[in-house]
Amino acid sequence: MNNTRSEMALRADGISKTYSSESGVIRVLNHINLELSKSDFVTISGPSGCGKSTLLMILGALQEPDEGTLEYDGVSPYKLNAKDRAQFRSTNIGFVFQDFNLVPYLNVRENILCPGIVNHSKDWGARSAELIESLGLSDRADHYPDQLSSGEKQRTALARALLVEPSIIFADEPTGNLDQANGQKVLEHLTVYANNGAIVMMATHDKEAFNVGNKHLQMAEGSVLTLT
Amino acid sequence: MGVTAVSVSVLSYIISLSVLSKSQMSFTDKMKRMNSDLIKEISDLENSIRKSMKGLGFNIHIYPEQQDLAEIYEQGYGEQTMPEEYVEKLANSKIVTVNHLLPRLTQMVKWAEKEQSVLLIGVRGEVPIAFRGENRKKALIDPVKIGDIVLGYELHNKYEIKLGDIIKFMGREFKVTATHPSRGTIDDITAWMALSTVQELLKKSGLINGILALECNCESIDRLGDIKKEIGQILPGTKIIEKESKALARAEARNKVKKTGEKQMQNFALSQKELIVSQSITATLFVLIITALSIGWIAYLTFSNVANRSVEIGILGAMGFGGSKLILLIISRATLMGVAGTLCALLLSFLAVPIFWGEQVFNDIFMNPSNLFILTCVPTLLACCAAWIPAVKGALKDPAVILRNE
Ligand SMILES: Nc1ncnc2c1ncn2[C@@H]1O[C@H](COP(=O)(O)OP(=O)(O)O)[C@@H](O)[C@H]1O
Ligand SMILES: [Mg+2]
Repeated sequence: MNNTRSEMALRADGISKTYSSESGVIRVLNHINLELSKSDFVTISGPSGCGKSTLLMILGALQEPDEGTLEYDGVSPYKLNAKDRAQFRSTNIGFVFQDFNLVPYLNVRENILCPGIVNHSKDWGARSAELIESLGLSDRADHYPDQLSSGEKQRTALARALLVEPSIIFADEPTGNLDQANGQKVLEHLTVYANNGAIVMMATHDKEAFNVGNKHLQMAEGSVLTLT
Repeated sequence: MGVTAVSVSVLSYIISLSVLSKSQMSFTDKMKRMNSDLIKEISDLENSIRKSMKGLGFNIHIYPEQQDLAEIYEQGYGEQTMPEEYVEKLANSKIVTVNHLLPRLTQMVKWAEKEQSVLLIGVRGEVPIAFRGENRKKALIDPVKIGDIVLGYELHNKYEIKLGDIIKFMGREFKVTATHPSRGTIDDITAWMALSTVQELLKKSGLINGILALECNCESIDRLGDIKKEIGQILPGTKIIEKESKALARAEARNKVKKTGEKQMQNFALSQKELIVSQSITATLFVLIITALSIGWIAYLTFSNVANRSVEIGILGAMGFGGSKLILLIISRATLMGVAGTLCALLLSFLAVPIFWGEQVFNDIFMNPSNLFILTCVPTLLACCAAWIPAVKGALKDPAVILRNE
């Protein structure tokens, strides 16, 4: 893709997160240390409830950890106020979720253009057209989410995540609700994006998807077992 | 969805207003019609009474104060006398209630020449009421000239006396100038003469024992009271009784009918008013309930969208929408929804209201500034308020928390 995108490294030190519920305090993440650099496609696997989503949220500057520091090339998003942190997300981070999370009253094109409302660094029209084209959504651009198939929904969500060319993409089980073929397409796009110099972090249950990455993170009960 | 909700509630509000306005309008119409009917009927009645009373007048007797009325009822006249000047006094006053004044001196005498009881009445032509001048009413009774006599039926029939005969009465000669047909009353044994002659015959010079006042006019209910008051001021020391009359009885009956009619109609109007008041209370309550329901419904629909909203807020937050931007976005969407829904409803009702309920109702609803305000602003404001809460809540939360809780 293009090379104007900032090329970042991510550093997480001693990230811990606990949730308290009626049944007691659950330590979801336990002193996670992580260092990623551009073109890393990290796939994360682990049993359900081991803390994959939580880790992605924290690394994605969506949820503050209890302990630990997070740094993107010298910027610590959790040291920013909420507004600046949102701004930081809008320029640097993209998200893809298992259940798409499209805005129901916006059509495909509008959904894709959504992050552009906050990020004014350029006119995103051409970029969105390019994404609609490359993700095979051309004849769906004016449709609304409830008129789309799961695959189309997820490709729309992916295009939305890619619009502002963030330096890092977090994908939480993006293929979980897709059939084999559609899942494959999403994985291909993510791979291409990582190969172009971004960091991609993807949590997945799927063995095949897990193998797509060039780094593999195995988690269990809030800890990193292996990072290969 | 939201647009429909706003639309439907605004529409239902307008419809309820229309139905109400219509029904209230027919109430007021009915009331107006009944009121004018009522007023017309009363005035008709009054007119007919006035017509029947007009020109009838009524008659009173004025007697000396010390006159025992029992004596009058017993023998048809009183023995007590009062000065003849009283009539002048009355005639020269500005009395408005009495039209004709007839002084008289009456006594039952024996017609010695015929061994016959005669009620002798001395009359003096009518005393003109001074201030009326030329406009005074036409004299009702012709006076009897000195030396003339007028005889009741029994007196001329029994003794075969003819008009123009010269007869002897109490030692004097009189010319018979009139003979009355039978009336079946004491008039039949009455003889009329000039007042001065009777005063001489009875040795009661300058005295009378009664004044007959004819065609008294007084439209008030208590006419006798009013006349008593007026005459009493001019002639203290007199007593006044009303002479029985058929016309009066009729007028009295009319008055009674009028009174009951008025009363009935008042009662009717009152009960109608009460009915309308209670109906308008019900109507107001109805509007209040519909309003509350409409507001409630908009609020409910908006809040029930909160789950959706939260996701939306979470996604937008994840994409970098910061607090105020997020709130602004949500609110503007709600505003748009409110405006669109309101416009839809207004458009529909602009078309439908005149067709179903007519121009009047349309004007009632849409030409009323407070109504217009309620119809245009409140739904939008409500939609905004309802969106405000989840927006602010969402903006304050970490997007992750929202996304995860879905
Ligand atoms: N808001 C929360 N409150 C309490 N517990 C939570 C909350 N969010 C997640 N958890 C718990 O944290 C654990 C990790 O969740 P998650 O990160 O979603 O795991 P994974 O994505 O690996 O399935 C789970 O046991 C889950 O029940
Ligand atoms: Mg998960």
